[in-house]
Amino acid sequence: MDTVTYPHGGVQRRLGEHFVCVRPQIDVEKDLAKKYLATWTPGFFFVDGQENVHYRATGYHPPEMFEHLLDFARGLMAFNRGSYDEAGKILTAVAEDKDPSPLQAEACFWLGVARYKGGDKDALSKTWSSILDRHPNSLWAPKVGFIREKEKVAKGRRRTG
Amino acid sequence: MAITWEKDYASALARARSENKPLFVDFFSPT
Repeated sequence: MDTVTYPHGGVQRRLGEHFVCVRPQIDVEKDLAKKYLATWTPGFFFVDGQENVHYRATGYHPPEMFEHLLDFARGLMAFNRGSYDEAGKILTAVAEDKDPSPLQAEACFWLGVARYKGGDKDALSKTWSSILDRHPNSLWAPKVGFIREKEKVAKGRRRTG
Repeated sequence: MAITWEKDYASALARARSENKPLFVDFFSPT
């Protein structure tokens, strides 16, 4: 992380603008590590002022993937406080970024939920459908696969109705 | 913009609260 990812301009800008950063040494800050259930390094935690953990990730991340992680976590934190429009904008940027990363499928999942909770009820299935189209081998595809069956049933009803 | 690492967790949490920003915690091992 120190050699490649933290010196990256996009990573520095994101951490500098949007987060307060701290690096506890896991074998020194043992009580803190225990509190967060941090057992391996690097171990990343995204925490609010009440010390709620909104997201965690473990292991080296190359710069482009780490940029997605930082943006995704920020979007998820906006979602968790009910700021669905803000969450939608941040998650859209991750989901539609030209640089691919495994976080984009997860960003699509929560983007659909943010749009739904923000009042666009049709957006849930449309956004989740994009997971099946663009990230069919992701961990998130099986979680939304049922919507295709629902779409087939709905089309059948329209034909027979 | 360079990353500013707070010197310890308590001061980082206090700053996060005062600036209303999220806290990014990176548990590390020295190499």
